[in-house]
Amino acid sequence: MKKWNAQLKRWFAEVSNIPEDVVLGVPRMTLIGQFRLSIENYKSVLAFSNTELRLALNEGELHIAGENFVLETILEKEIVLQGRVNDVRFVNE
Amino acid sequence: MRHTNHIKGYLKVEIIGNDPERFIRHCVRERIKMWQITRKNETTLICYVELIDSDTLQKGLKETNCRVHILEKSGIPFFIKKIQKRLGIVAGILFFVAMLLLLSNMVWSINVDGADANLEEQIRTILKQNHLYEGSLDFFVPDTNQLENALTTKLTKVTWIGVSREGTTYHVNVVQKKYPKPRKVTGPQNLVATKQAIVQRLFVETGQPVVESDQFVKAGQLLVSGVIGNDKTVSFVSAKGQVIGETWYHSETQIPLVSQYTLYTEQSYQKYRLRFWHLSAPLWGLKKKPYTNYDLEKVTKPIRFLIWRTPFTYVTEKYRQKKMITRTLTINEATEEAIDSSNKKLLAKLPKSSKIIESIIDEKKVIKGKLYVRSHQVVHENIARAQAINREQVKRKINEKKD
Repeated sequence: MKKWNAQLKRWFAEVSNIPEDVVLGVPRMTLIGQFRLSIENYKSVLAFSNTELRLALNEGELHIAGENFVLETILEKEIVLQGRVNDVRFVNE
Repeated sequence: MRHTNHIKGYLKVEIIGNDPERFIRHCVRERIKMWQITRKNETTLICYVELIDSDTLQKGLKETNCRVHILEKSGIPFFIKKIQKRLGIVAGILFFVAMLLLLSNMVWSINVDGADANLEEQIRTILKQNHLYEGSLDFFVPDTNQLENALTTKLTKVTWIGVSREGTTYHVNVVQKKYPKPRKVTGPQNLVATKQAIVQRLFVETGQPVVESDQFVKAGQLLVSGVIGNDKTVSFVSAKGQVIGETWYHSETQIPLVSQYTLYTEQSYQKYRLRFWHLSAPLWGLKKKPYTNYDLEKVTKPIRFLIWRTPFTYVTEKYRQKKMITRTLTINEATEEAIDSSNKKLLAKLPKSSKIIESIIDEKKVIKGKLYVRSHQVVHENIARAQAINREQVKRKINEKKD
């Protein structure tokens, strides 16, 4: 049932021309070079250190690894990370 | 992106706890703004937080099991607190500036040049009556022109007086009247007539009178001779004395029968205003036009600060009420006035001891509302004038006679 629902949403996004992240509730990431990453539609901050940021998403987690991390902005729907980004990884378990 | 909100104020804090991310999550939920988050070590995060009331902060900390250590306080609320703490210093600075402003606009000294001690004292008292003394504020001092007027009308011993201002110093330059010393020693001289007249009386101190009373004399005629003695022994003296002669003067005057003139009533109204470039704010006196008929005296004083002129000026406006008066004269009154004024005019021209014996009206007529009076005055005045004697010439003449 849940899977079916997700597929319906994806189809709707495709036909309606509405951005998929809005319809599906999945994160939208903007990476500028290697030094600035903004993530929209995240759920919460799980862990933060100089080298790692773990975010909870609607489904699964997002792990970002790098160096000299600074959380530039943190809002309810958006988070901006500064520093050297080496790795962005989805973890679904 | 800049988040710093100086108006609301913000803190730089250390969040210390086993799981400081919990506090971040809490803040995001509560919509408390945070930015520039960095990790210091395992248990510590450093971040900026907007200023919130301590109750909600405490509650959040308790919920998340964290402690907060404040590193920096910035923004206007903290600045105000700082100032409140240092109120004494701020008040002191303000007081200092105010004193400086006050002292910059004070009259520090008045220099009087060219007057003797007596006159200087007199000048200073007159200036004091006009609010100008050492230590007075420049705003209340009238204009230098007005000061000059006040001084010249009250001082008779002075030919010229100049008042000037230089910063906080007033200079008063005075030129005193110097009367020439009376000539003491005079050589041998005659007295001759200055003008055509009929001799009335002679007061002869020295010399030989040549004319008698009721004698008609022409200008330049010998009145009192400085040559005395007979043909054999001639001596010369300096003839002195007064010869009063009767003289006639013609005069013509015209007086309008209806005249209008303005008169100040004793009432006046003062306005004070502070001007900043072209903006002016009234300080005292709000009536727009206090009188229908008035003369306006305006004194502007720039407010100075140390050696600079500030764009502020202090303006004093004095409205003096005046009245228009219409005067109608009857012909008799007008005639009287005409005679009076022509007498005065005449006396001003004549030597001091002159007297008008009689004023006789020759003709009077009214043309276009004006009275024309033609009159003549009979005057008694001193007609004697000294004239030096040329001794050689006189001696030669006498010798010629002898021969």
